[in-house]
Amino acid sequence: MNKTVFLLILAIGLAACDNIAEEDRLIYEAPPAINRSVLIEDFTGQRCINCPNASAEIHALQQEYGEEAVVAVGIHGGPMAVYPNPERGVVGLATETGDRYTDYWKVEQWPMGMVNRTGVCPYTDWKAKVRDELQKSATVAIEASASAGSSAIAVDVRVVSTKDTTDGQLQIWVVEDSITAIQLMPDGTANPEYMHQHVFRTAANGEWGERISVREGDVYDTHADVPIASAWQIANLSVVAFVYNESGVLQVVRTAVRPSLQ
Amino acid sequence: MKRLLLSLISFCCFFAATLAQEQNSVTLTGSIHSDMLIPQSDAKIGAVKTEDFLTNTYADMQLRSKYVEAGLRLEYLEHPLPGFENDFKGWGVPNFWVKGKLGNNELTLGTFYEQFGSGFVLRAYEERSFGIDNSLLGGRLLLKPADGVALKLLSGRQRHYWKWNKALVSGADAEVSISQWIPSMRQSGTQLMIGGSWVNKYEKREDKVYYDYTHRINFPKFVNSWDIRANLTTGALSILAEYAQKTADPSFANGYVFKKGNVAMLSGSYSDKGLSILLQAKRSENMSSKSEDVLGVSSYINHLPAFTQDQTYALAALYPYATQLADGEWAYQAELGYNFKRKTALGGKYGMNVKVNYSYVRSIPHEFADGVERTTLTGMTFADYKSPFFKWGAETYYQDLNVQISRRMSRAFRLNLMYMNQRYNKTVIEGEGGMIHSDIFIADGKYQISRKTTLRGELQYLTTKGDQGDWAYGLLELSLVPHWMITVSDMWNCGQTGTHYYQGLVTYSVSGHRLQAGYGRTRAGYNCSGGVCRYVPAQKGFTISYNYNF
Repeated sequence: MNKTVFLLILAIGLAACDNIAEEDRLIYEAPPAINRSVLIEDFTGQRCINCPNASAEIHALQQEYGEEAVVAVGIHGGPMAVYPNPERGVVGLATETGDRYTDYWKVEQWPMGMVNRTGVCPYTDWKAKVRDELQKSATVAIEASASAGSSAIAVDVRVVSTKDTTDGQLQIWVVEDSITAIQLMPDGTANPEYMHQHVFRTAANGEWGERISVREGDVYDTHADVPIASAWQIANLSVVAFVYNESGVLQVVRTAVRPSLQ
Repeated sequence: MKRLLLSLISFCCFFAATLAQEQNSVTLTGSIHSDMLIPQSDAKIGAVKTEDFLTNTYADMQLRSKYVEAGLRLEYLEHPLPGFENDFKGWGVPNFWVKGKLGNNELTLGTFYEQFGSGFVLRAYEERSFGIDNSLLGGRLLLKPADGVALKLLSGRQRHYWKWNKALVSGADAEVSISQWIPSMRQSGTQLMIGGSWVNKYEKREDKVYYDYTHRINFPKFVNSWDIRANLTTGALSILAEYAQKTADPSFANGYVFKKGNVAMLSGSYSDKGLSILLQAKRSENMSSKSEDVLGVSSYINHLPAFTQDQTYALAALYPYATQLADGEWAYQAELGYNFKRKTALGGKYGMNVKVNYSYVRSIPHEFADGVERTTLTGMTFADYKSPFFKWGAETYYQDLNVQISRRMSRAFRLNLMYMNQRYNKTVIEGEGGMIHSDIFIADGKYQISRKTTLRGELQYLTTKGDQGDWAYGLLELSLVPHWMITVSDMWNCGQTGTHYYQGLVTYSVSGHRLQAGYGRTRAGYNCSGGVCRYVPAQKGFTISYNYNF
């Protein structure tokens, strides 16, 4: 009896060995076809030491597929984020809207992100998700332009449905690049000269955008005026426009804000 | 899966019905445990009221007879207390089991908990305060084929809040008491036990993780781990040696590295004539083992105990250490205790107990091919490293030296004094904050006012230049046996924020029932593991806790 049990365990153990040879640890897959752009919503915070790793992953993805194909927005919200406090000289990047997005998507660990709103996941999953989403066909096209006036940014967005009727929400955000502000780093140190990219600043047409329903071949035009906050550097501002519905983000574009001629 | 569940529940019902027919030999036992919070918003501490009423409620029931046992647990966590992971929310009957017993042998079908050895390769357990329940759903066979021989065989899928992970966890464990078979050892009171375990995880991962833009990781379907151990007890001396190893198990926590994990532990204790000595050392590397590659506290197959003293005093427990499973560590603990006899120069009239405890946890090196040594593996996707066994890493994770003196000063008054010097690497354990070096002073006095009335008081002070600075704590507890206990306490951050975390509790106990009602504030904090952190928010409000055992 004892011998039988012992042999059975040994047999199962040996059969179950699954040491993958070094040369077999990676599986090759051909580069993806880029059929549309993808949106990465990076839930981040200046107190989060691992968040610069997620930013580096975004940068690498943009290097690989191009900034037009991979559009990123850094949403500072939750307890790891820092609110601005000009009186104390604190350049904080958190916003109340960012906090609400963080709560809505039930982000409870940082860094986390969503690729085309297909679920919150760690940044190590982004390569796979970006790859999947890039290969899907675009069913909608978006054109956006933005120009800064003396006190507001004028944003114009056109949505064209290229396949079937598009039902969903059109969301327009303002983001800012190259903001120098403190960031905790993976080695635990604080870097006061850290350069933050694609930081979410505000939603131009409501926190959840505006409802659209566009038949194939039809267009939907919208306009928004966004007041310019004093902390923003107009030369570093861009507008991100995307259409989403329950299946995720259908298409996204990013365009730089043209500075005022004055 | 649903079919399996229905079958098991039907199975439980069938056995319960069978048991019920054996009127005279069946006993019914159970318990109810409910923690409730009526939350309030409090801008001072950052507490936010999200719902009107929150509760974590559990009801257990077991039927026992000579040959068969059956049980189940109802959990109502639809509106859970703050600080648990999102997936914790829900309600249902996640635990149900039937056990058949014949002689010394047992067969369990349904959900069960189990631990092999110290838990290095398998520990399925429940810890409600952390929201942990990683029970297995499947079958377990316990056999005792001969005196001093115990065998365990099991297979199942692990609970992940309100689902069961797809990975199949199987294992076997054998323990043999050598001294049972050697008369001379038996006669001398020497006990020697040797044990061995094996655990296999079978998982066909459906998600893809890419190393670069054209290569994805080929995850192993099987991960094996094994454990050997020996425990020798002779007279006052006890020695436990244990070693475990696991095959490559690339995951988020270990940077998706194809590398074996291992843990080695040596523990010795001596206890005789009022003297007690404990010496322990443990080295672990890449031993994070989960049945699904998810973040957070769920789905762990194994458990490595922290080699640091569990602290019960509020300020001594302010910065608790958590084992770094994936990154690995060297951990040491030494404890010396002595009981000075009564009517001696140091023992005084009533005697005195002195205990000194020291623990130290250090990183292990991770030497990567680029020549850079890193403490954490997060972000190092697929990069192998070297870690010489006897070499320390660059970082101290935790250090704690504490001295406790317990002395009865008079017939009615007992005094406990404690001093603790602590170094806590907040960056490694919580994600940010640097090294916090603190000194903690505690006085705990208990005065017996009358035969039924006792008053206990605590005064604690923590001083540090790090984090939020100094803290003070005071507590008064009046016990009116056998039914009542009234407690008031305040934890005050006198170093930075000036915030008071006050609390008042009234407890009433009678014949199996225990009801506690209170009001107060609880501070916010971080709970971190594997390079990512979970925030446990501050809370304030009325609390009710009810326990009933029958």
